[in-house]
Amino acid sequence: MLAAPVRATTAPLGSRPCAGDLCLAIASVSPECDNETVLKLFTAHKELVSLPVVEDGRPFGLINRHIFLSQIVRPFHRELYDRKSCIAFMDKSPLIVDAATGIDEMADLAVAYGEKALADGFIITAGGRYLGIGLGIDLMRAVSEMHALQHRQIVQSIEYASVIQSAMLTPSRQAMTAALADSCLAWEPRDHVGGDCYYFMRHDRGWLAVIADCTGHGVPGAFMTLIFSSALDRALALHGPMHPDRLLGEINIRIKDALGQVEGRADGTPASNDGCDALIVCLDSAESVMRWSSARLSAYLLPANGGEPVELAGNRMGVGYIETPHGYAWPSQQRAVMPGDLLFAATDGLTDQVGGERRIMYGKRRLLALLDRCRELPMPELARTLQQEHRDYQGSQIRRDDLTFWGWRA
Amino acid sequence: MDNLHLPATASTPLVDFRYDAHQLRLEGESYPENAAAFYGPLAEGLRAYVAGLQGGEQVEVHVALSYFNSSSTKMLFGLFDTLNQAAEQGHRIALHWHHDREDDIAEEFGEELHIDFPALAFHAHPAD
Repeated sequence: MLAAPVRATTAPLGSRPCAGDLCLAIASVSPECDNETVLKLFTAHKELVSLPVVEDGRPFGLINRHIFLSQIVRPFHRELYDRKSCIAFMDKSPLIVDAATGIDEMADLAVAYGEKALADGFIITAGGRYLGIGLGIDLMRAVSEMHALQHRQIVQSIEYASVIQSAMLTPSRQAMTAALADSCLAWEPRDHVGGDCYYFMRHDRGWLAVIADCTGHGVPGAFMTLIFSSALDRALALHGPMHPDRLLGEINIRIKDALGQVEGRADGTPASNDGCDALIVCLDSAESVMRWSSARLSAYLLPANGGEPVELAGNRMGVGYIETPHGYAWPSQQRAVMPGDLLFAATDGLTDQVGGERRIMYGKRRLLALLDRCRELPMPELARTLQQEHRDYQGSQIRRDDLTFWGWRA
Repeated sequence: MDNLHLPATASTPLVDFRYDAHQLRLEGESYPENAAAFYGPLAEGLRAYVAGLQGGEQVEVHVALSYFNSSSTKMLFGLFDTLNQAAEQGHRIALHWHHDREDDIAEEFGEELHIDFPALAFHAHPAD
């Protein structure tokens, strides 16, 4: 009695899943059909959950097996009802949906209709004419398959985006490895792609290193890194690689312009309020001086003479963002670099990771203690030690943010 | 005004805004995918609330966040700015910053709030 789904073999690939996919073209009875016939049908077809009642090709109601059987076996009911119309025990208002209804909408309808639609099934029509019935379990299966497919598509799309984002960063990593004898760099986006990025270039007077933590993570974060990268390119073309303050100022302007960050736009839509934390370090090899400008990005210097680690002075104004003035000027700092000086910078994903017994953020104190403990190690080894300690600290907690750190020993 | 109550989720804090008791509490972690969308209704409710203050009330704001990402930080600054402006107009508003005693990030953030929003009566509450 139960037939295969009507559309199962005919649905073209790539078509939107719809109620018709669930349609079982089972035989129906007319309102004139008596209860004895219905009882015989239910007895002969154990798999039949509901029996549709159809009049002149149009759905009339749905007889649920359990309700029908529990009624008909009551004392004298067979004598009373056997010869009467089957509409006596019929649900007169089952859920009726058109075959073209999408599965998502179908699921909403079934949930809104209540338990009955999932237990008894529902009638599927085309242009108002009876086509068959659908079952709750098949609907659940279709919803679950659809969501699995959607999830797979999103993950594959992001994985491919990750190939592009990594490719964008590779030249900088290679340039850094070639230029800096003792250095380390970790870039760990939380969700395949992320809002952290870095840039490195060597030039005839030294080198330039940039670490940025753009708003958000995942796909929006990755979009921001592309905007940042293009802003940095323009800034470098205009100001060269020796002035971190001018570069930050220019990047700020470029990001604000690219995103149209002006308060109270005429059309009333919320303007973007995105930007980044960033650190730009310029090394002048001829003078052995480093200059830097920082917008909320932490960096530390551990002097070669074994002196106390110091946090490099930064500025709390973010780059981009509505609140940051268009022409804002970040200060630049400088200090002489001695052979053996250790410089370390990280995005807040490192210090803000929740973990440990108290389930609190990793923190600056813990980081500085580790750096101090490992200050004599080659940078790659220092990085491995830090990553191991950080993973242990994180324990069973989920990663909260993208994480990037960079270290260099002069 | 109806009180605002949002239960905590893994990535959004408990929001308990009792307008009638002049008390706002935020507790938990904050890293929603869309911070502007999450904090929008609270920011709006807060602006409406301070606009309706009579002058005699003592407003108590309790914040206990064990993690907050940068987008949430911006939103929190917006909330505190609204409160700070109301305090500058003479309303009595206290900001209670609760954090783990060993959490230097949260502690430092509290110190920044104290500096940035001087009109609020700031109270740090390090907990063991």
